Amino acid sequence: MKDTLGIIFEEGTDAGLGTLTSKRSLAAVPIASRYRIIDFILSSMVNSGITNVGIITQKNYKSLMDHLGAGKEWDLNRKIGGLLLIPPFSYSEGLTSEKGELSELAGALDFLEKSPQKYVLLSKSHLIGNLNFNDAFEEHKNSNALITILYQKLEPKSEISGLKNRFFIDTDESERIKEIKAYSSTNESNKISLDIYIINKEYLIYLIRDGLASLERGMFAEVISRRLNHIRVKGYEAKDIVARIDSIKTYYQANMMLLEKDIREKLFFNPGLIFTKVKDEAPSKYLESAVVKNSLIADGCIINGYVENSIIFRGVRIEKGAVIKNSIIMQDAEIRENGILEHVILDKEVIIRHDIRLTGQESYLVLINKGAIV
Amino acid sequence: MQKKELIALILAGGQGSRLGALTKSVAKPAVNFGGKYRIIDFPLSNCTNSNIDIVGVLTQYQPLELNSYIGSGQPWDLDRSFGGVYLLPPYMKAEEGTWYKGTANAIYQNINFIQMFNPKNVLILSGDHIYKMNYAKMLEFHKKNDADATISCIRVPWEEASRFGIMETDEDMRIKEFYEKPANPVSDMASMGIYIFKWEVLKKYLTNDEKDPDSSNDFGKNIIPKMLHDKQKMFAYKFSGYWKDVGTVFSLWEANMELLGTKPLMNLFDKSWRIYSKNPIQPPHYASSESEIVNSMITEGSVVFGKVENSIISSGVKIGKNTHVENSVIFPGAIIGDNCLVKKAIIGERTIIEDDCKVGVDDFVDNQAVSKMCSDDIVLIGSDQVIKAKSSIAKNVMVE
Repeated sequence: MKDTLGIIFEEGTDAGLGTLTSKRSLAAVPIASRYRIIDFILSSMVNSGITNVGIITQKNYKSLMDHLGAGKEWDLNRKIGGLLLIPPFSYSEGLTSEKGELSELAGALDFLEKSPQKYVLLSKSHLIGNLNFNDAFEEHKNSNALITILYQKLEPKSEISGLKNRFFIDTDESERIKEIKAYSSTNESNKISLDIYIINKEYLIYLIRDGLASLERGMFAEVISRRLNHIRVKGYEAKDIVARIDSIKTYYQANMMLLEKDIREKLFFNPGLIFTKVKDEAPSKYLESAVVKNSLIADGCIINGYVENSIIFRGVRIEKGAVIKNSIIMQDAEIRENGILEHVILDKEVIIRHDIRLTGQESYLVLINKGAIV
Repeated sequence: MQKKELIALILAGGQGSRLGALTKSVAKPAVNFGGKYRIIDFPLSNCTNSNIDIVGVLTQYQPLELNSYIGSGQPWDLDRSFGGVYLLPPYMKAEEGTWYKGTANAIYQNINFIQMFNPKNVLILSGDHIYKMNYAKMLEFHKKNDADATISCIRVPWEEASRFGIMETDEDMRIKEFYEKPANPVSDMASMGIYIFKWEVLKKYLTNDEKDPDSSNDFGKNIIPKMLHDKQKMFAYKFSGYWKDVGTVFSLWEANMELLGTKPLMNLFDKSWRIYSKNPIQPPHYASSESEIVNSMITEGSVVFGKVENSIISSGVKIGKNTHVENSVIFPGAIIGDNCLVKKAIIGERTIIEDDCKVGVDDFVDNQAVSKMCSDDIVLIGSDQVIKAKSSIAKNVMVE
C-alpha cells in the first residue's frame, strides 16, 4: 500500500467519554493497560504498509503530541513521508459555528496535495481493532469506485448501544452502496459503517474544496451520502474484531473484552503487532500479599493487594489490603492500604487513600478525574 | 575542534565462558537479566544518566546479537547526530589486523576512534557488571585531584579479595600499591574495572605497552602497575552501592533474586536513575483466574496460568496450568507447559518445557552429569531447547 497515505481524524462532536476527554482528545485516551486509542488504527495502517500518515488534531492535542512524538515507535520517523500532526484549521472567513467534517479535513489539504500517493485511507480515531487493509485496497483499485467504505455486519438483534452518529449502509449485489443512513430505530440494514474510507486522493481534494466553497456541513458519511447518485461508492465487509469507543460504556467493554484469550491474541498479535510509546518501566513487582486473578497488568507496577478482572496500567501501586475488582486503573495511580474499588475507572495519577471505598455498577461506572486524591 | 571532556568505552568482547550455555551463542554483555534487560543495559544507562553522549562498545566474541540489540542506540537515547553509540569490532589495518588481545590492546586498536573526538579523559568500563553509578561524580573527583588515572573501587569481603585487583591508598585516596589478584590481600578495596584516564597519558602508555612483546596487554596486569611504577598520579574513587559481577551461573541467578522484595538490593524502580532497554513490542502481561504470583517480577507479554514464587518472568513467557515455578529466572519467550515443577532454574530464551516435567527437583537422574558451571542446586537450560514431556532434569545440571 505504498501508494496510499493515511489520514486519521477525530469526530467533531463530543467524544462521550466524560472527563476522560475533557483535557485530551479521544485518540489519546489510555486503553488496555499501556496503549492509547489511536495506537490501534495507527498500527493497523503501518502494518498494512502505509508509510505516510497525517493526523488531524482537535483542540487539546498536547496529550496526543506527547504520545506520538516523531512517530518513532510506529516506525514513522521517516525522511520520506512518516508522521505529520496537523493542528486544527482555522478560517479567515470567520466560519465558526457548526463546522462540518469536510472543513476539519481542510487542514490536511496541503498534506494531501504535496504527498505523492494516489489513494487515501481515511479513518476516524475511535476504533479499536487490528486490521489489515490490503485486501480492501486491492478491491478498491480493481473496482472503478471513487470511494470504498469498510463496514461490518451486526448480528441480528445484537445490542444496539452507543450508535449515535453511526451510519448504516445498503448495498446491492455488487457491493455498490445505494444508501447511507444515520442510525434510527427503524433501521433495516445491519451493515454498520466503520468510518474507514479508501478514497482516490484527487477526489478527496475535490470534495474538500467543493465543501469549503459551499460551506457544506455534516459528517463525512453524510457528505458522501449526498453524492451517491453521481459517484460510485462501494462497500467492503471487514471481518475483524472492531470496537467503537463512543461512550464510557463502550470504553469499558473494549477494555474488558481483552481479558478473553481469543480476543486478546487476535487484537494484540494478528495480523500485526500494536505499537505504542515506550516508557522504560521495570517489570512489575508482586510482593508477598499479592493476589491477581484474570487481569492485564503493564510494567512498572508494585502490587501487594487483591486484583480481579481488572486492567492495570503502568506504574500503579496497590498496597496491602487494597481490593480492586472489575476496574480500570490508569498510569501511576496509587491505591493505599485497604482501599476498595469496584467498577471504577481511575484516570492517571489518582491517589485512593487508605480505607476508602468506591463502588460503581457495571451499568454505572464511577469515573475519577486525573490527579484526584480521594 | 573543541575538546570533549569525557567519552566512554565499554569492553564488551568477553566470552563469559563460566556462564556455560547462556553464552554459547551470545557475548556475556548480551545475556538477559531482570526480565527485560541485558547486562550491557546497565553501563549504557549509567552513561546516559551521567550525561555521557559518546560511547564506544568494543565487541569481539559472538557480536551478532549484541550488535543488533544496540543498533542505533535509540533505547538509551544514544542515537545522536553528533556522537552517540559506536560499535567497534576489531578490523583489518593496512599492514595487519588482529583480534583484541587483551583489555588494553582493545583500546589501543581504537586509538584512531578516540582521537576523532580528541577527549581530555576516557572512561573505560566493562560490559558485565550490574550496578548503578554516576560517572560524572567520578569525573569530578578525577579532575579535582588532577589525576592521571582514577580507579573506581568497592569494599569486598576479605575472603573474596584475592579474586580482584586490590588497592592500597593513602588518606587522600592516592593509590600507593596495586595488586592484581593477590594471594594475601593487604586491603579489601577492590578495583571495579572502571577507570578514568587522561587521554594523553593513557595513549602514551598504550603505545609503549604495545611495543612490549612480554606484556599481556591488560589494564590490571600491565598498564596500571606500569603507571604506578612511574609515579603517575593515580587515585582510588570509593563507590558504595550495589555492584555485582555476574560472571558465574550462581552470581547471575543471585543478582536476579536480589531484584525481588520490598527493599531489594538493586532497585529498578528508581525513576531518577532509570535503566533503559530495548522494549519488545508486547501487550500487558496476563494473570489468569487460577494464577498465584508471589514475590516475583513479571514483564509485558507473559501469560501466567500457574503458580510463580520468588521468580523473574521475562517477556513472552508462558507458565502453564497447575505448574509451579519457584526461585527461578525464565528468559524471554520460554514456554513452560502444564503440571510442571521448576525449582531454582535459569531457563534460556525460547526454550520449551513440555507438560509434566520436573526441573531442579531430583538430586540425581540417570545419565545426567552434574555440570561444573552450575552450583548450589541451580539448573541451567540453554536457549532453544526442548525438554520432552514427563522428563526430569536433576539439580546442578546444564542442558545445552
